[in-house]
This record gives sequence, structure tokens and C-alpha cells, in this order.
Amino acid sequence: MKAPGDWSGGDVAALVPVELELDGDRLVVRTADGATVLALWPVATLRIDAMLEGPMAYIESPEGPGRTVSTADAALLGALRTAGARGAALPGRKRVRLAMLFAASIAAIFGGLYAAMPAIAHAIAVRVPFDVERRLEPQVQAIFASDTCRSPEAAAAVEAIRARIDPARSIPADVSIVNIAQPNAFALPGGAVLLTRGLVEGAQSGEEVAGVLAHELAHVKHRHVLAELIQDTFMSGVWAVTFGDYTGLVAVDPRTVERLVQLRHSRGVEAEADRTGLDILAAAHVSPAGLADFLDRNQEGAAAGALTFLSNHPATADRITMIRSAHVEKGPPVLDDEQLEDLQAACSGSPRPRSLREIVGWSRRSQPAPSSSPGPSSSPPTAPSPAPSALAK
Amino acid sequence: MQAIGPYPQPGAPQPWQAAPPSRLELRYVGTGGGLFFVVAKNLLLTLVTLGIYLPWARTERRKYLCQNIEVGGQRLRYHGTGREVLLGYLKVAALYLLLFGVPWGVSAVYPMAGLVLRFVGIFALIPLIPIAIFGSVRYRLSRTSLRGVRFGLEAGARGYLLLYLKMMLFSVLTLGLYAPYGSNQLHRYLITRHRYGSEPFGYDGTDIEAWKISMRGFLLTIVTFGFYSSWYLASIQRFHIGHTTFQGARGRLDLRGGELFQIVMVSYFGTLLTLGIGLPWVTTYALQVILSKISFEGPVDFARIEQRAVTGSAAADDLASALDIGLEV
Repeated sequence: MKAPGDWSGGDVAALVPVELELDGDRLVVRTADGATVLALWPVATLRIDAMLEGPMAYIESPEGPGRTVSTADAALLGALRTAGARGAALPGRKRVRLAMLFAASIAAIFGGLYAAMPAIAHAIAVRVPFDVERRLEPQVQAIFASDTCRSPEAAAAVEAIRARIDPARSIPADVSIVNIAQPNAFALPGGAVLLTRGLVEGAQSGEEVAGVLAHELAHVKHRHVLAELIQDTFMSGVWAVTFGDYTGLVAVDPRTVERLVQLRHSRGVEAEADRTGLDILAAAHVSPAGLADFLDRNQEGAAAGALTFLSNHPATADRITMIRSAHVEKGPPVLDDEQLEDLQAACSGSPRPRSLREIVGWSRRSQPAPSSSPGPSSSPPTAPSPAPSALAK
Repeated sequence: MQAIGPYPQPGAPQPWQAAPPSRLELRYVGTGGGLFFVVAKNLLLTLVTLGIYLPWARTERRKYLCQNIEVGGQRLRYHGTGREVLLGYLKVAALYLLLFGVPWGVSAVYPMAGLVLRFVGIFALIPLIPIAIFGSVRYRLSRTSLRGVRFGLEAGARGYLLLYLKMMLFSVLTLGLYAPYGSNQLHRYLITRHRYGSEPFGYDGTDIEAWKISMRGFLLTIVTFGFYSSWYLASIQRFHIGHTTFQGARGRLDLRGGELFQIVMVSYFGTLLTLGIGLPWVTTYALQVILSKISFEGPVDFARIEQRAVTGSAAADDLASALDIGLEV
């Protein structure tokens, strides 16, 4: 079998037109006029470097280092491979099917990871000693340090609520009030729980604040924040490694505190926090009706267009129904009138409230709502919302 | 028994040798489907190996893109290996550990010293950028061949670094006015160290001419709210390639601003509307159009181009990648 080709001696860039012949177990390379034999290579030593597109391939042998012949003759290349030359054949038409199979496999792996990760992350989170998670708290608190309302009277009111719903201090949380206009509440890594100025100023009873706080304490108790942080970090890592974007690995650095307040819980996690929150309220003999009223007002805000995030979550109505249907043996009021006033005035001595985006320095306006009880994530950064949003899914 | 030889001698006239070509055209013969196959295979293997395959994936992709480029009817060949890229990754990881891991560890014990070391680490990145650019180009050229002869980049990272720092300093002092001037000096430094075998490339684009093109492009880009950027980019690339010489040939780029704008739009919307899946086809389209506009006009005597030993480390290439310096095709 003979075919035309080009010879490269490896010492100069000039090519020599040649004739290639498969002669038994050898490849004979002759000048095109047949006068000079340039190489006699055993086929078993040959390596074929196919170019993937087009029939072009380069043939090399360790017996002639630096010297190559190129040919586009598919018949000769096939014969050489059959005779023992190394070098994969072109995938040809199978490529499309194989590519689709690869793509489907990637989608299946990512889909499987997304489906399984919440359970895996939760299993890991509950095994991490709380003291370890606690190390993240100072960094998170540092973000809000200058925006924390430090009224001793309000702190005492918060403490009274805390003493009522978690008298044994079984949930290791630090509760603060931050000078943010939007009604909201967050559970952050390390057990930090933040109630916003908008939330406490808009609260009409201690039961409303207690309901919100019970929900946030439930997030802390179940280690939801750490679990979602683990999940987010793992998936970002897999994504970064797969696509070779190692700058993404810097972004999953757990010290990147901005990420910590951008986590958003899934509906399943919120439902669990709802259930546990109700259990906490029931054990403390605190009526959940206040919490339901609170969410009712949220819905009104959503209908008015101020809280577009809520309007996308029709499940809020189901939650209110579920909360109202909970049977709780009612005890004394959580706060008396004076304590409620103290709580509502927590930030009265503070300067103009800032939005969460201003505080954490978000650069992208499309970031998801923060943490466990996302409020009006799509409302303008500085526009105070008319209705509270804590506990909204 | 057939006798072997004699082999063609370097520079010696051969009976089969044609007259030196007067025009060398570039062409990209890859396909979107072919690139999609390579990318999909790479992603899957990288995913299932938890990233270990990444160096090989990167090499495969680069090999596909490189080997489907024709220069004067002959394919480029890429000889880089995944193994050397992996070793480069490890070196870069060690460097990053030194620059950022050590300060982090020190700050846990001595916060002030850790802070100082962190700043040192960040500032150390500045000289690393030109070194990475130079090294990355050197590595890639040393692994690329045409007609059996390797490309190369002569040593000179230190000179490139000094030019880079000079450009940075003067640009700051002149509020950016010096940047196009210095940028052309860097380009000249790099191109004139390029060689194909024994033959060097040349560059005769003057700094003042490059400065005029850049300033006009910069101002018009601002006035047109960015729309002129394609025309600006096309004009500076025409200038760069048009002033690049090799033997008796001179580079030529026929890409107009409108054509580049079209490529940018097709690339942007083609990627966006397909959620990234269309990227291999978009890349193919862009390469086909751009490379078809590049040629070298004038005689090139391949018989005079002799093989030369070349060196290049994948670590610099990996560092450029880690620093997010876009030097891909």
C-alpha cells in the first residue's frame, strides 16, 4: 500500500514530498521520485498523531527522533493502526453521540450532587463542634459592629424574650438589634442572630418578636447556617475545579465574610425552622398568633408591591394557616408595655439606618436575600419597607 | 535491503524545493462539534477525578485549538503534556502557599507581622504578572511546531519585568497617558524575542504611532459609550500584526472594526442565549473569521529555518492562569 506524504527531517522547516509504503511490518519513506529512501521504520514503533479534524496525521518513530511524515491518506493510516502502530483513531461520527453522553453525564453528576448535598452537608454540620463554628462569629459581628443598636433597655427586653422562650439557654446564640430599616431577621454563622430596627419598630407585641426569634433560634439549633455554608462551599469548589476557575476557590474561602450573610435557606430548611420555632413557642406558652399577624402584614406589604420577594412565595399563606392552627396553651404576655416600648426604641438614638447591602458592601445588586429569614431582597437598598418580612420564606 | 539517506541538508538547494511562497495564509479548520467533544470529555473526566485531570484537560483543549490551525497549508502541532502542566500547578500552589498561606498562619500568632506579610504577598503579585506573561508565552511557543521546527522565545524575563514596571510607574505619573507608549515597548520586546527555529521575528511599529491609535481609540470609546471598542481593538491589532515581520514577509490583518463588533456580538449572545453550551461553536466561529484575516506577505525561505533548542516552563503558564491573565487563543 502506497500513499503520498511530506517528510520533515526535523532540522529545517523545508518539507520533502515523499511516497509512503507499508511493506510488511515496516513503513518505507521514499522521496517522491523513489530515488532515495529516507526512513525504514518498524510499524510497531510508530506513533500516529491524528489532528482530530480532517484526515491529516503526523507519523513519528523513536528510531528517527525529530523526523516526521505527514499524510492525509486514511487508508494507509488505517492499515498502519491495524499493523500495530499506536495512536487513537479519530472518533469520527461517534463524536457527537459521545459528546452528548459526556454532557448528560456531567448534568447527572451535578444534579445528583445538588440533590444529595443538603443531607450530606447537614450530616457534616451537626458533627462540627459548635465551638469551631463559633470562631466565625467575631468576623460576622465585625461587619455589623458600627450598625448595632446598643440600648441597654432594649437589650434587657430582648433578654426577657430570650429568658421566656429559651430559659435553659440550650441554644448558644447571641441576639443583637441592627440599624437596618427593612423588617428582617438573620441567623448567621457562629450563632449570631440579628433583628433589624425595622422589625422591632414595627412589632405590635412581644409575641411577634418572640415568634421571629424562636424561628431564628431554630436555625441555630439545627445548624442550618453552617450546613448551607458547607453545601455552598462544596458546590462552588466542585464547580471551580471542574471548570478550572481557581479564582472561585478563593471565593469559597470561609473567611470571605460577605458570603456568610448571602446564604439563603431552602424551603425545606425554613419549614423545619418553622416547626421547631412553634415547638419552642409552645414549650414557653407563647401564642404564635402574633407571629401569624406579623406574616399577615408581610403579605399586605407584598400586595402593595413593596415586598416583591414575598409575592413570589405563595407558600406564606400556608405557613400562616399552619401557625394559626398550632394549639398553644397561652401564658402571660412576653413583654409588658414598657418593655415593648424600650424594644421599639432600640435604635432611636442611632443615625440614619443603612440597608444590608450598604453594610456588607455588596457590589452586585442581584444577590440573593441573606440568611435564614430573607425579607425584601429585591427592594431598593435604601427604601424602608412598610411591612415586616422576617420569617418569610 | 534498501539503503537509507542521504537526508536533506539544512540550507542546501533540493530538486523538489519549490520557490519560497510569497503569501502565507492562516486558517482554522476546527469545528464547533469537535471542540464540544473535547470540552465535554474534559469536563466529565475533570469532574470524576475531582480536578486531577484538569492539567490534561487544559492540554487537550489547547492541542485541539492549536493543531487545527493551518499556516500556509501545514498544521501547527502542539507538544505540551498534561504531566508538565500538573507539575507547574504544584509549583504555583507552593508559591501561593508561601505568599498567602504563610502570612495567614503567622497572623494567627502575630497579627501585626501577619498583616505586613499579607501586604508583601499582595505586592509580590505585581512583578509576578509580567514574569507570568513572559513565561507563559515562552512555554506555549516552545511546545508549538510547524513543519517539524519549534517556535521559541529568547530568554529575557528580567528585561520584560523592568519594562513592565517602568510602564506602570510612568503610567501612574502621567495619569495613564504613557500606557499606550509603554505597552508598545512591551509588545516590541516580546515580538522581537519570538523566533521560529533559527529565524527571529521583527517588529517595526513605532511607539508614537501606537500611542496615537490608542489615544484616538480610547477617546472615541468613551464618547461612544464603549461601542467604538471593537474598532479600536481591530485598529491596534492591525497595527501590531502589520508591523510584524519574518524574513522577507510582513504580517497583515484585514479585520475591520465592524467585523470584530459582529464577532463580539455573536460571541456574547451565542454564549448567553445557550447558557454557555454554545461556547465551542462561538469560539470556532471567532477563530475561523479572525485567522482567515491574517496572512504574511513576502518570501519565506523554509530551507533557511533551522531547528533550535527551546525551553519553557509550564509553571509560568500555570501562574498566568492562576492570575487570570487571558492568554488563550
